[in-house]
Amino acid sequence: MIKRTMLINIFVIVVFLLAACGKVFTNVNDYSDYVDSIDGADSFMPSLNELPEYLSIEVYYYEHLGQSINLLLTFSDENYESAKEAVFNSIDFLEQPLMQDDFYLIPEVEFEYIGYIIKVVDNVNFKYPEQFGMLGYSDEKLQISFMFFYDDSLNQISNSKDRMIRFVESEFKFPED
Amino acid sequence: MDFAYNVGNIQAILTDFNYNRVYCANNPVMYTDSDGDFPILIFLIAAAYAIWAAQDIYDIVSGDVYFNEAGDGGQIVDSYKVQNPTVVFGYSIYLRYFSDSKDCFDGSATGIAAEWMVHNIGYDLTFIPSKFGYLQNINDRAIHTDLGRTVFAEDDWYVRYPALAIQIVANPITIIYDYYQYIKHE
Repeated sequence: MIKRTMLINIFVIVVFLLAACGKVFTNVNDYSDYVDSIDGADSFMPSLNELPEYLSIEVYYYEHLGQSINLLLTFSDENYESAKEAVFNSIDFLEQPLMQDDFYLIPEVEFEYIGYIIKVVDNVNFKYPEQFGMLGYSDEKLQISFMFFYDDSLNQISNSKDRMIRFVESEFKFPED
Repeated sequence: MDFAYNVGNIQAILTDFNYNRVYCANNPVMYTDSDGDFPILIFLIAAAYAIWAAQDIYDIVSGDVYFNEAGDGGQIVDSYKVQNPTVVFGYSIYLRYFSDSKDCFDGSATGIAAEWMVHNIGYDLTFIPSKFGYLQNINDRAIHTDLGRTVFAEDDWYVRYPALAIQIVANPITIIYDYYQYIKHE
């Protein structure tokens, strides 16, 4: 019995290690397919033809334990501020962390990650933390980032200080500098 | 000191005085159970297991651990608090066949218990690493157990396959039953 229990434990560890390996897709032409494949993403992620005028566009669709998409737009000096104002003024953001019982669903509503200021979007259709969107910007890189995450199995984003940074680090992909 | 000699002596004295027999003359530090017919280690393990089970049953009865219906399956909230295999199987049988939520499931109680145990293993394995910032994402997912109508309806393959492995060990026939129910309702 002990041997069988050991074998199951080893099997589970191997499966978890395999699950920790993610797949990244970056084809902008497949953007709408990526959005369609993530439950609820179409309610937040913009369609490509309704975006402000941008210089370049990148997309990172990441299948890990959950699914995430990161749409990164780079703007010119002239367009960046107006685009940022238009996008951020059209969206509501969470003002307080979200808790349930002893656990943080969303421990931070605004944080900085590799030069991007990222804010968690407030939307009644989201199911925090399983399914929600975020918006980020980098004044230095003149970029705006639309981010959406979905994983029905995620129960909490726990309450250590830098937890949202770790969450974005493990669940989203950004360009490597 | 000759322990066997001492035990023999004490037992003879006890018999002479027609007392009930006691373990190592009530002094197991000094004397031995040379014939091994008093399995104290097994007794202690059984007692510890029973206390563990009682604690887990209390968590369920007090509402600390409970089931939230979601139509097709549902969620055992704070399932990581109940880890005793007997209680896990017992509560799974209750959920599947006797509770008000029994219609949320098509599969077997073994399938429910197996998914629950996978979450518990995931939680236990990642508990200490998560305190140091590692494997937090798995730990975050293992606190509650999300259940589908059958184990085959589980979305996450990294839960489904380990759960099936546990079912193979616990009761392989239930896999056939669960798969039949799965294809019948898909």
